[in-house]
Formats: sequence, C-alpha cells, structure tokens
Amino acid sequence: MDEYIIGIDLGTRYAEAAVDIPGRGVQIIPNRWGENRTPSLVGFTKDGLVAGEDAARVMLTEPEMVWWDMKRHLGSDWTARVAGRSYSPEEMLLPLLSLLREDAEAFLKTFVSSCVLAAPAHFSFPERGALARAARNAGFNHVRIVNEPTAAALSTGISGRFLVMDFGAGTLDMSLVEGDGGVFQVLDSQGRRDIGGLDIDRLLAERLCRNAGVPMSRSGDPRASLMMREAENVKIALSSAKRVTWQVPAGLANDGRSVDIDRVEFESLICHIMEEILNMVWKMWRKYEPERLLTVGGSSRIPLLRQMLAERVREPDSALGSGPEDAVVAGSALYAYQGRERLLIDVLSKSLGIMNADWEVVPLLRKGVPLPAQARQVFTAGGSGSIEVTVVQGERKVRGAGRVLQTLTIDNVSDGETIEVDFKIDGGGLLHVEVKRRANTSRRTISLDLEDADEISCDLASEIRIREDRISKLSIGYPDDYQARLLDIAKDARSLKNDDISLQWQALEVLDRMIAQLERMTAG
Amino acid sequence: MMRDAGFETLGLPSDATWDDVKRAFRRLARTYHPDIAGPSGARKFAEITEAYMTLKETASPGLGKIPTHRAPNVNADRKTGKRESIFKRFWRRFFSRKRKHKAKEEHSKSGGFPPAAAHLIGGVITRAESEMYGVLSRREEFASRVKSDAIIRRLKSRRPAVTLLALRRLSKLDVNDDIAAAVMEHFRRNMPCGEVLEVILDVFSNSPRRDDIVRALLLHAQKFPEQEAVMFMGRLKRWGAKPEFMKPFLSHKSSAVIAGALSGWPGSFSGEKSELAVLLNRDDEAILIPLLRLLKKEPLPRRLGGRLMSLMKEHPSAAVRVWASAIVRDQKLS
Repeated sequence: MDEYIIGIDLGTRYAEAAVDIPGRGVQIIPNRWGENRTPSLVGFTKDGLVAGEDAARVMLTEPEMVWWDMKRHLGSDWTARVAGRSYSPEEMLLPLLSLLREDAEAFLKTFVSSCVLAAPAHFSFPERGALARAARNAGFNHVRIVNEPTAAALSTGISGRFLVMDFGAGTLDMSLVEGDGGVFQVLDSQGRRDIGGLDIDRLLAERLCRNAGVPMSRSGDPRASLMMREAENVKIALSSAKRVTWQVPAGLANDGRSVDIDRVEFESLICHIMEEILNMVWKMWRKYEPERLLTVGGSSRIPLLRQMLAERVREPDSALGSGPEDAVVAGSALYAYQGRERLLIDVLSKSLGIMNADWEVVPLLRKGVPLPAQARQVFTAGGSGSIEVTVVQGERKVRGAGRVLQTLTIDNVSDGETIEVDFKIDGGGLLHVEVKRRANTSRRTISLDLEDADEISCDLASEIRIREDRISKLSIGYPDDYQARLLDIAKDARSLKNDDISLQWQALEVLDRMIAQLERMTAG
Repeated sequence: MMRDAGFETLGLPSDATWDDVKRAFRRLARTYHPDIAGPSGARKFAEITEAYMTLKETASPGLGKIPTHRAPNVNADRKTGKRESIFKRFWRRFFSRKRKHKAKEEHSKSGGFPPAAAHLIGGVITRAESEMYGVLSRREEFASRVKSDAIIRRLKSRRPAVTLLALRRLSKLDVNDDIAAAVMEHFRRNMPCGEVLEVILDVFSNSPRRDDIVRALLLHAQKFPEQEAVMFMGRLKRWGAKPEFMKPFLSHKSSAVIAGALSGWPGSFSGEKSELAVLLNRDDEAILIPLLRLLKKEPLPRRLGGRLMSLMKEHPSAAVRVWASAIVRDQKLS
C-alpha cells in the first residue's frame, strides 16, 4: 500500500488523527509534542498562523490572538480579523488541518493526501462542503466526510441495534445504528449544536469564581480562558472524586486561597442540561427500541449522566475497543478503508428537494435514503425569461420551513424548455447539484462542496458515451480505418478520467468539434 | 406492484418481512456498494436502494416488525411485473434493430462516400487526432504540477521531518524550476536544521541549480552550528567550490569552522584583503596555523610585516612562531 488514508476527528476542544494499518489495527497518530490529542486552537503570531500547542502558548499571553471552535462558523460569513486581514473559518482551520497532516506524514514516513473527516451529525451540506474545502486547501486531495456518531458506531464493531450518543465539548449527536455481519446501517441521526461540555465548564467556572470570591472575567480576557481550563480540570476530577479542592491559580488571586466543591453541588449545577439530554435520548430510545446504548465523547464520562441514563434508559455500554474520546477518530480511520472489513451505510437525515415556482418543495431525495444516492427531476419552464432553482433541505412543504441551501439562476429560458436537475450525494458525504438544459445541451453544475458555484464537475464516462453514440451513428458506412481512428480518439479522451477537470473538458470539446464538422459534412 | 418489484430486486418472496428486507439490502450492499464494487456498482446500488426505500415506505410504521399487510394476490402481481419488463426489453430491441436497419438503408442509397467526401472526413479526423494529442500531452504537465505543488507545500513545513520527506521525494524526481525556486525561497528565509541541510545538499549535488541553492543556504552560514557548518564546507570542498562560497564561513563564531574554511581554501587567499587582516589579528592558534600555511605560498603586502613579526616573536604557540618566521624569512618582510 503506497497511500495511507487517515481519519480525523476535528473536535471542538481537541483534534485527533488515526490510521488503520493492516495487521496493526487502528493507531492514534501522536502529534509533534508527543500527545495523542492536539488542542483545536489556531493562534496568530508574528510568523503567521500557528495551531495546536503553539497556539495554546499564544493563549497564555495574548488570548485575543487565539481562536477555537472555527468548525462552528463553517459555511457562515464569520471572519477572524487580525493584522489588517480577515480570515474565513476555512482559512482558520487550515493551519490545524495542515498540522494534523504533517504529524501523520512524520508518523507514517510518507506523504498523506487523503483523509476522512468526522463532522457533527447536524452539519448541513454547505457546512460539510466548507469543511472538505478547508481540508483540500490543507493538502488533502481526497476528502470524505463521515458523521461523528456514525463513525463511533463503526469503531465498536458490535452487532444488533444500538444507539450511539456522542457527547463532546461542543456538540451532542446521536445515531441509531444496526450492525449486521460487518454491515453497519444507520437508521437515524440527530444532533444539537447548542449542548456541549463547554457549557458545563462555563457553569462550573462561574460557580467556582463565586465561591472563591474571584471576579469572573469577560471572555477574551486571558483570565477567562485560564478559568475555563481550570473548570475543565475540576470537572474531570469530579468524575472520579467526590470532592475536589480547587487551588485558585496565581493569575486569578494571589493569596493562595482555595475552595472546595463536591459532586453534589456540581450535579445540581448541570442537572438541567442532563435533563435535556435525557429527553433526547429517551425520544430516540422509545422510537426505535434499540438493544444497547453506547456513549462516546469526553463529556459522556460525567457520572450523573451515566447514572441518569442507567436509571431511566439503559445502563450505558462502554465496551468499546478504544476509549470514549477515541471512538470517533478510530471510526473515521476505519471508514477510510470502507469495505475492507466493515461497511457503513449512512442515511440522509433530512429530505432534499427543490422549490418550484409556487413555493412548493418538490422532494428529490427522501429522508432516510441510504447513501450514496442520486435523483433526477425534469421540469418544464412555464414561461420565458430567467428562472431560479432553489435547493432546500427539510421536511415541510411550505416555503421558509426548509433550509435553503443554494439558489441558482438560469437566464434566457425559453417557454417549454426542459430543465433537468440532478442531485447526487457522493460517497464522500458531499452534495452535488447539476442543472442541465435540454434545449441547448448547455450544462451548469453547482457543487455545494465548492466555493465557486460555476465550478464544473464532469462525469467523463457518461459524457463520452453520449458522444460515442453519435459517432457510431455518424460513422456507419465510413471506411473501416476511419471508424477505428474515431474509436481511438474516444478511447484517448476516456483515458483522461483521472486527470484534471479542465483537460477533460478540452477533450470533450475536441470531440464535439469533430462531431459537428462530421455532421455538417454528412448533411451537406 | 412497485412493492413487488422491490421484493424482486432484493431477491425476496413477496411475503418477506421488514427484517428480511433489511437483511437482504445489507447483503446486497456488501456486494454492490460503490465503496466495494467501485463506480460500476453504482447503478445496481441505486436499484437496491430504491427497492429498499419503496418497501420501507409501505412497511408498517413500527420498525423491526413484520409488515401488517401482506401483498394480496401476490403471484399475479409478480407475473405482471415480469411480463412488463420482458415487454419493454422487446420494444427496445425492436426499435434499435429498426434504427440500424434504417441507417443502413440510407447509407446504401447514398452508395458510399465519394472520394472527395472521404478525403474531407479524413481531414477532420486527422485534425481531431492532433488536437487530442495536444490535450494528452498537457496531461503530463498537469500531473507534474500537482506533484510539485504537493512537494512544495511540504518543503515549507515547520516540521523538519516533513521537509525531509519532501526532499527525499524530490531526489527521485527531475527538479523543475518551480520546485528549485520554492526551495531557494524557503531556505533563504528559514535556516534548515542539520539533517535537512545534509539532505538538501545530497539532493542538489548533481543539479545544475546547485550553486543557486548553495547561495541561498549560505545566507545562514554564520548561524549554522559548528558541526553542520563543517559538514557543509566538506561538501563544498568536494565540489571544488569557489572562494565566494567559503567566505561566509570566515565570519563564523567558531574558530574550528574558520580553520576548516581556511584549510581547504580554493586558490589564492591574499585577494581577500579585509578577511586577511581581521583573521591575522586574532590570537587563536587554530585559526593562525592554517592561515599562515595559506599565506606562505602567496606574496604578502609589506604592511602585514609588523603583525607577522610580532607573531614570530611573541605568540605562545611554537607552531605559530615557526610558521610566521618562515613567512617572514621567505618573503623578506623583516
């Protein structure tokens, strides 16, 4: 094997990478600082953007120069302004993704240019597209996106029907999965972006400050980030100890004071968050009646959560091959070699469709359809002028209920012209929408994974097939050697299937020009 | 009826349960999923997916339970399904045969091509062939651009291990201008660490761009640690380097490095007047001995006589005194 594919879990607080090496199983890739987990931070220094521990170091002195949780802003117009320049979320993720790639390259001693990225289940297609684009800019030529809870399910390798709850620092995701002889089929995925371990840290930080009589700093203050880290440590300690003494660090109070917090107090703080999670789990549980409950993600270690789950739903299972923090990255690494031993079939979590002129949503791909999937719909223009094709995702049929993913305007449509819309969700979890006009065979593709709406993708094989049909019709009666040469030209064009898209288009143009000339001759 | 077509696609009897459907779907997915079967499986996978979705929607709402309504009049329905597909196939064949036939007929009517038309067609094909050749020849260019982009990106890494990977890969390739420019640009700004330096020198040892790369690296000559500077000079000497390449090392802080530079000095040293004066005024034995050895072969300006005289008389090292006196004697500087 000359190319490794790594799995990446780009968490809210920590990022991790892993690779599935034949014969050795899944290996977590250590970073340049010797750790398995890299802080998901990007900081700005005079040398440019830095990531990981380097950014954590910047955090100590200039916290306003450090960003985290860029993932949350993907696909939005959020920017980080620094040194007279603004950076998009994709650009901000770049140093972190490059760092993970380089660490993997140093670990594997070869170039790595393919990855599987885990994304929260609630990520929309534009967000996934932006994530894939960021990875491509970071030097990954081939990128696939997998859902975080689904990846975790894949890493368990168990059979039967189970519910995976992934409770991380920034997100809460759930997937219902059925494992059956190495095939893992997802039946449903749900996620919330507003519940995460960080909310717990924030609550705890506030309480600790109040108890210790330390003023709570506003975010952006170096002391605020210090406080959050302190709270995280106390939270982790409270998972195993009943009572923790928090020594107030020198940055916050200089008299060496300390304050005790016990688990009961902590639990009363987070009780309402836990109730909300329990509700979500219970709903899924009642709907599908799974056999097991698996919990992954660092925040799932919280004893209160485990206790509540055990009392009201089911004793959470942690019989995982890897620790709860590593389940997602291990699953992503396994997904990279999909089909080798395990096959994961994910589903579309919300229907995809297009909005017609009457603001009605015409669903093209239904909720729950196994992926990859494709669908096609042909419309007839009801008038001339320009029309809009609006891609929406959501269940309801009324205008405004679904989420508009993208709108494409087609100009100069003539009355009665047919317009074909192709939806394709590829194996990489990305959506491609292609709009073809039947009348003049002009083709326009909007790919939601690509920034530029005019970016063209090309199914070379099928395009060539169309042209070959025309050639074979044309060339009836041509001398044999002409026919052979025509076939050779088409074969040459087909050989470009793995090459640059612009070359493919050039080849098709050559074919089109030739066909047009031949047709004219045959006609004249 | 759609329902039965679904059962048929999945290879199930029409009284199969929802659990059977799922199992069959997964079994078929194991074969036809595009991740296993490649793009050729896509069509079949789409078919089984469609069948699965159809059956899912007609199945009872409770997942995992046997569908409540079994298909009425199963056999008749299935037969219709089959009949229709056979029917369709027949029509398709019929039409295609007819079309071919028609085309042939037309052709025979026109009675083949007149030689002039055949000639014109040949011209069109030839032109298309040469255009296609042009496209194909650009393919190498594209592929190598992708390859060199990947290498350049890694060369610039802050992590030496990755830079090393890129350099090692570079050694297996023809280094093009883009890469050479990127290497120079990068190392002009960033000092390579020991192992990286060694590999760069290896990779470019036989390259026509070697001197340019060396010039970029020499910007850091004073900052290289002693061992690396010595290694670097060793290479330069082996390549028969010009004095301009050795000169930067003369202002290195380590006397061992300066001594190393002097002991293999290419050509005449007395031309380097400013360096000569500075170095001669140092008291370091390690520097003076190779310096004096160099100067012995060359005519020296008389103004250096004073310093040489004092070295001859006062320097604590006997070797320095001997070398100095030899020069003074030979060149009659006293």
